[in-house]
Amino acid sequence: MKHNDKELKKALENIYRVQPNEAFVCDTQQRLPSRGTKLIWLILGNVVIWGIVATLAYLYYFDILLAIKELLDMIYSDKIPNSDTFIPLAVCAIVLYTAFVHSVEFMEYFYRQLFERRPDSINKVN
Amino acid sequence: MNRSNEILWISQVVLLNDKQAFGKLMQRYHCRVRRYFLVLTNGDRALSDDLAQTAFIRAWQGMNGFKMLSSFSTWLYRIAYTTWCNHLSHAKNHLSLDDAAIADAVGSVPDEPPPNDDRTEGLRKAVASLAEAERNCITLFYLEELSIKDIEKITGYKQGTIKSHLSRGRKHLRQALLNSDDYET
Repeated sequence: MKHNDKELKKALENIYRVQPNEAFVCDTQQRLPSRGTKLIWLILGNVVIWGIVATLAYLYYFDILLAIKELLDMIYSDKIPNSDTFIPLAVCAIVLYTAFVHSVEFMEYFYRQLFERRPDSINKVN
Repeated sequence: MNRSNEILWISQVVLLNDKQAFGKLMQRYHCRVRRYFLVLTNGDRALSDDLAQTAFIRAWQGMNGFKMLSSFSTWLYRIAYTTWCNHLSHAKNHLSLDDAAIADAVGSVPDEPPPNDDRTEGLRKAVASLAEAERNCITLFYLEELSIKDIEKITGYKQGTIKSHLSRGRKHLRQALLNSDDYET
């Protein structure tokens, strides 16, 4: 840098002085938002939950079919469901619901990564 | 050693969402980022700290996008630059076109106490009167000591354009310094 430029630099540094501010750092740190569920947990969660669904379906498919039949009978012909089939149906409903929620979160994560508009800056520099 | 510490902290943030590691990065860079905004906001410390905080939060959220193809500081300055651009466009979109209202939004009132000498005041006014692009280039080149290449990455301007901005900005500022009695060439 030339001598004149050094003078200019010194003059600017003199005017725009900034002191370290621990309070600023702490405050900003507290405001940092969650960076979202890590991908690895999303994948594992989905593998586990859909694994459970597949296992239950394999082991109890007949009971599940029967339970679904009972449910349809209840809806369309006012027939009271058999209590033996009601419990497997309830379990299936809970498991399927959990699997669905995990899948939605999984798909939402990928949607955000692929399609959400990011500040151009972050992608352009790299 | 500094660089390896930085890589370690960045890795901790990306892999473990470690806020403490990000705090260490902030401690290293917060003065520079705040100073950058202090110049752009013409000395408005509250606004510059607010913008600096926004820039760091955006850096935290976008950390997965940092691929270490540039230095972390260059990447961070780029985020700071777009934060400033967003602030300006937000101010213009949401306020009336009244110049005074927009000037308030971008910080026309310095919080610093009045300077003791004409030279400082003259230079401050000269910096405030620079065009946006010139002020950015002057700040990044002189105060933050970045290279033309880094400024190109940060602002998106071509190198020739940056040199023009620097040349014009320098001319205005030197004139302001020359106008004060105690400037020695």
